[in-house]
Amino acid sequence: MRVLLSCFLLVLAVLPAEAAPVELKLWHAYRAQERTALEKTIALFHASQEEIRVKLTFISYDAYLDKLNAAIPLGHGPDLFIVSHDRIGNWADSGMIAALDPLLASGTINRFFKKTVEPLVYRRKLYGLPTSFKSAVLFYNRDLVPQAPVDTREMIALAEKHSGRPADGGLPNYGLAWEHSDLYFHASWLFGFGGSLFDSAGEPVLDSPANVASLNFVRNIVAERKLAPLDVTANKVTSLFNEGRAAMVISGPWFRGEIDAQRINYGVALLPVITSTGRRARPFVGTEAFLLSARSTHVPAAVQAMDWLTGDKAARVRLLEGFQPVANHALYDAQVLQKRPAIDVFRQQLKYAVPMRASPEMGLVWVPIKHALENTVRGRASASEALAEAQRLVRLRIEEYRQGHQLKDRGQDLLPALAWGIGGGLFLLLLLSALFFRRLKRRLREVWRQRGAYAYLSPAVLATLVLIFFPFVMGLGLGFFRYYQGEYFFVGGKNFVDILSSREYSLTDSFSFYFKLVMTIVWTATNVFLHLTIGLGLALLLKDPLLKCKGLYRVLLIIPWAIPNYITAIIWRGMFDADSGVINHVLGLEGFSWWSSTSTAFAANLVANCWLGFPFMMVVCLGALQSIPRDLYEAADVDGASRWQQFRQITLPLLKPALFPAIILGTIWTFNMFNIIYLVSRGAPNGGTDILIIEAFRWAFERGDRYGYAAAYSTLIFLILFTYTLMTQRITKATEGVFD
Amino acid sequence: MNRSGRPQRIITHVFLILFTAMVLFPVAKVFQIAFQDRQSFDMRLSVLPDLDHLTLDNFSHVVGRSKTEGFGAEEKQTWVFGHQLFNSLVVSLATTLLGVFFATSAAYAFSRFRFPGRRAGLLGFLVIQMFPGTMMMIPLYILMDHLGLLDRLLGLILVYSTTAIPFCVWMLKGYFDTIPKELEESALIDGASRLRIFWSIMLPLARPAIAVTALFSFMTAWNEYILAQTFMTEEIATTLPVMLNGFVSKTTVEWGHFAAGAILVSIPVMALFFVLQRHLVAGLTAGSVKG
Repeated sequence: MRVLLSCFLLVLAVLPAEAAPVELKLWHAYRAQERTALEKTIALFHASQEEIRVKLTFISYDAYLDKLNAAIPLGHGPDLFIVSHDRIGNWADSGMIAALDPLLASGTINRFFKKTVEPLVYRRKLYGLPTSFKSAVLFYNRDLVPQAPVDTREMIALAEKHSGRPADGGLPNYGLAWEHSDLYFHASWLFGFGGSLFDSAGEPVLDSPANVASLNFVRNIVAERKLAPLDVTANKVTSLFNEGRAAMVISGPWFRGEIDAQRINYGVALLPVITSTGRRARPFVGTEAFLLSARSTHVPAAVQAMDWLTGDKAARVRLLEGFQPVANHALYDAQVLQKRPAIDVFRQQLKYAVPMRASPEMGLVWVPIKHALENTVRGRASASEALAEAQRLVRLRIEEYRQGHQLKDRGQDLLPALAWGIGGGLFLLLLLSALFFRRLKRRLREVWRQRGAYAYLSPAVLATLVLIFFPFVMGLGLGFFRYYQGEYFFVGGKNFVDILSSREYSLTDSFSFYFKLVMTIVWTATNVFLHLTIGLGLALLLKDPLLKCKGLYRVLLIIPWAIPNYITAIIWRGMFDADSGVINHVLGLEGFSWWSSTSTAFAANLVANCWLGFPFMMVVCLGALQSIPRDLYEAADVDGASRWQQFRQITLPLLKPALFPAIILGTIWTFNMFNIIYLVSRGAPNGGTDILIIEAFRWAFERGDRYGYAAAYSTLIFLILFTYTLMTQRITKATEGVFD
Repeated sequence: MNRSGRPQRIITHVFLILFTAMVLFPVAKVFQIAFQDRQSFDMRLSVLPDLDHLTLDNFSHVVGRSKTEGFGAEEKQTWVFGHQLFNSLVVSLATTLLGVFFATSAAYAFSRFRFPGRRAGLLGFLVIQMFPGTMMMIPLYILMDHLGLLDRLLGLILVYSTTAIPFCVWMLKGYFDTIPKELEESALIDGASRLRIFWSIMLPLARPAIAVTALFSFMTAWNEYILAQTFMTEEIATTLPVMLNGFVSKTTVEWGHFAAGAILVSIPVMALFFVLQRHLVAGLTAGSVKG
């Protein structure tokens, strides 16, 4: 039987041509029209040949990069994937993507605009084929601005005409709107003023006079003349434009899909000439491209597919139906442009655009520049001070990044594995000996006698050990390593020393560990206190047995707990908006920005998190109050005790044991509350409201993949909470508590 | 305090109504966005949808989401929303069952046995959830890969039910503590086995606390999206919150679809809260107060 089978298989293998088609996996994060257009090109590709079948998988943008990073090295990734170019340097260095030069027929890239290919080249090798390019342009409301401004003087004059509060006292109008603190958009001004980010040797030059001038230009428009909104998000730019409250908007090609074309008669134009330099504003141009996974097992087929899918035929579909400014120059002919005139503006803008670099160094610039812009516009620092700080940080981080190279040169040896083992083992041992050992030894017999208990425990303990404890130990171990180009290198306690000695920031800087620690403690204490106070207050009101509609109130008040918090966090962000937010409207603070100082931003976070947190405490208090025997109050009444005395002498003492576990849990949850701060204040201003857990996240994902550093941060968070719990355990023990 | 008089109660009502209105405002805003035909939103005081823009399109877009694969004769339509709803239900219900199983048995041991390592174990369950989840992601991914649980609902079910354990064990243990030991002791004398006591005495008596445990496990699974979108690849293999997250991209948010999806996702949990609210109060805390 087996022989027969293998003969059959052999025949199958030898038979040519008719073999099953190769199935390629292609991942993307396109939505809406872009997605439909891509699906259509795949169908066309299938129609054009029989050998290759492409399996298209959509992954939401939020998870996309993490998923690629996790899946490709383990061999679960796609053969091809579409991304914007900016991670190419890191991926090439860590061997996740394959260079295309040796695989492509010569001349393949001649069909693309040169500037769209440049971002895909890293260390002289080509890593992708471009689908489209994305640069900022000027969108304008034709009803307000009949003719797009030629230079910035004209732009400012037009903006002044359309800015300010209307006579009827409604919401303010703006002449301009763009995400002014995002380097992607700011680059247009920065390069227009003749500035640059790196010198010819590749070293950062963020504090040049031209860069300072560009920051001052933005401050002048936003803060001094108030021609553009100070609190700004992509959503706000869109809604301002769609409501006719922003005359001009600077945004990218995706913005076209957001415009409510039925209400707004809009035009697209080149960014203006900077009057003081006579140069045209030069936006960044980024490229979206097909990349080839280094782990692909179908390289020839994958290359054939990406070649076809970036060819003129497929590109035409993406341009006409996906509204993409495609990278193929042959498509910008009269026939296409007649159908999609706006697309041509992007092609013209490309002439003045600056290709973004794909290097890891570039990845380190975004956040410091963003903070410099925010601090300048919000008047927290002068442009030159802010840029000097950005320069210092970027230099430091680049230096830090490059040091990884020495580790790589030193090479991997047995050390890491050894250290993993020792680190993990040591921790386990410590934990066990601290908690178990003495008892275990003394009461081994007791263990056997109580084996029934362990049987009851085993399912939960087993699951926890495998699924939580193992990743937890690995996370702890990671703190002793450094990630560099796809590998982990053992660095001992360096991460911890760097964090605790606050190597990169002065102790009082809002980014130092100690500042964050104080912030986290203040955050946790105020939150838990307020949750408890509000919860207890409401519970006392709802306790009244004669109160009508109690159940209704209770259900309605629990709702914040039932809705996923990432949804409501985003709503809260909008409610605190400076001029269209309902909170400023009610308080009569129109135009006041909550994100300019740490205390107000903190207050906003606090409000949002209290909204989220009080229902839990309310329910806990309700339960606890119900179990207090009523005759105690009756007796107190007889004795003539006042309501306040009853509360102090009866209610509070009897509530304590119920509240302790709730407070401990609440503390842990609040200490590690991520979504609210990350989505409401977003750390503004200048990272001042970020707490420890967010800082750990930012080290891992926003500052050059420092996973080891982030793990060390997490370990410190863990140790702090652990100490706290031990302390409360002491207290609860004293008050006869939860562990008995 | 049942002595408070009528005027006082009116003040209480006024306060509660105002407070509830404030609390519900953000929720009302989500509803307003969901029923309008724009993909952006304003933050004005009014929560009533603009009548000119009133629509159900957002809901039909979300519910009707499907995808076409292949072309010509091979073409087939897949109802993405249906698949995701099914996955969400399977994962959440299984998580609830498994989570309750894990938590009740462990809590029973903690409450009724005095065994070596008990305090340490109780503390351990609390402590283990203090390590920030974001850093456990990659190790967990590798682990799931080794266990062959990637792209399988079982993987999600196991992870979710395990993450819900600490809270549930703490709560249930507190509740079990309030159930008088005498009940079991007399049953023991009558010759009932431990398992039997657990099953036919403890579990029925702890019903409110178990209801809360179930609710909490369900919520953990129902609302989670980060792990779900990391462990599952195909769109039709993921859960509803992942779909919700798909409306958000780096540059844009489809607000209308997002809000409509958010409402659809929240409805089951709110319904459960509504049904279980009486138990919620009793189950969550009655246990911690000995009396």
